[in-house]
Amino acid sequence: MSYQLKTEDADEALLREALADPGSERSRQAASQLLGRYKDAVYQWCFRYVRDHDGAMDLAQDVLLRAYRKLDTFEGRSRFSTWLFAVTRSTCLNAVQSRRWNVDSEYELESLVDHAPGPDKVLEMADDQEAMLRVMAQVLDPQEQEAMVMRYFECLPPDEITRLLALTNRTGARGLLQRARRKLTDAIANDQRPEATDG
Amino acid sequence: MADELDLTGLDAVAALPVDASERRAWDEDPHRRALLREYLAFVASEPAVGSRAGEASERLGAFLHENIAQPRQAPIRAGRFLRWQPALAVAAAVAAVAVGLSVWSPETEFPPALRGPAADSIVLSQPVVAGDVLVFDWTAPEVHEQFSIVFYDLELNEIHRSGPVEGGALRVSIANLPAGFSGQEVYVRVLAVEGTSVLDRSSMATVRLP
Repeated sequence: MSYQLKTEDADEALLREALADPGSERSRQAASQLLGRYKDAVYQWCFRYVRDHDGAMDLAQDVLLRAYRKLDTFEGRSRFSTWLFAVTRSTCLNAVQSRRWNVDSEYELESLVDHAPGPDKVLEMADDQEAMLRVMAQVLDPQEQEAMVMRYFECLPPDEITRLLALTNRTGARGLLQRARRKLTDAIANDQRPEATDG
Repeated sequence: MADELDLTGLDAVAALPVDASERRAWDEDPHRRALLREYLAFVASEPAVGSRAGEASERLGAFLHENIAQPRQAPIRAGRFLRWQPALAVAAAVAAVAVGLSVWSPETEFPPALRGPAADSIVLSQPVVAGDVLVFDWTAPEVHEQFSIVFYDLELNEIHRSGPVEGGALRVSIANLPAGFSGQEVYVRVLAVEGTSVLDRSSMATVRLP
């Protein structure tokens, strides 16, 4: 997996300048320049979530403003790009969850309830990420687990999951998710089935 | 939930060889593996099919310039006050034109638009607190029929939405807003909507709740 990071030194220099005298013109210009280095990445990530230019522009502006307002909370424990990715991801997740973008009822985790007994148990698991991850680890292969995490915990659209996982099969992530859901449903159903008794 | 994960180590892990023990340990967790993949895609910033990268880059650059590098005070819109004071409105317009002509030259650069040409087609006047209600009014192109007012906290999380309504004004009872924002500033803007689709939007305004 190859990737290219922005020059860390340049980010640090701009960040120092931005935080040196908050509110000053020099500081604001440095912050603007720093965020400007990542504006395209932010827009592309937002677009991948909402699949709509105007929606992505709105989200990207929200991300950039939010990042600017929170700049003084950046502790330097990671690269600036990582911190900005966290802000971008969090903003996108909040937007998707509150505005119901990207939601495809066929792929809602709760829809497993329709196919398995013990709906309370399934709903409880859907709310409990750790529990769901444990079941996934037991019945799904690594790629299925990753696809399920991207869809249900990261709220990414199936097309984007296909790209991130570099899936080349005809149905892409949709087929993978469908197979994973079937396995999970079966596992949950078996778990709920009363134990057989002798006699 | 997913956003509670600590992402601090992502860049360090991303820089490790895939067979490094720390990287392998990270990759064993499907959620961490997914996040690493997402982070690498984020920094790679490859244009998505259907995205308008060039336009977005230009407009976001202008947005940063106007809102961070060279922020200006929120423009005073020709809203309620000038509507009721036609003489003042005319005088203000004449003065503005006179000043404009006196400083204009062919080389003058116009400030970049915040959201492109159509962005300010909806203009929200400064909201007014009147007793226990917030009064909003706005102007919008005639093509838009229904509008919603959206409230955001200072972290830009949506906290309330009123409407949709027809026309150019809306009174929102403060009692309908979520608790905990009394005395605080919030952002607001007006959206032109049709069903669940957002057709256009105004710039943000701020209002301090009583």
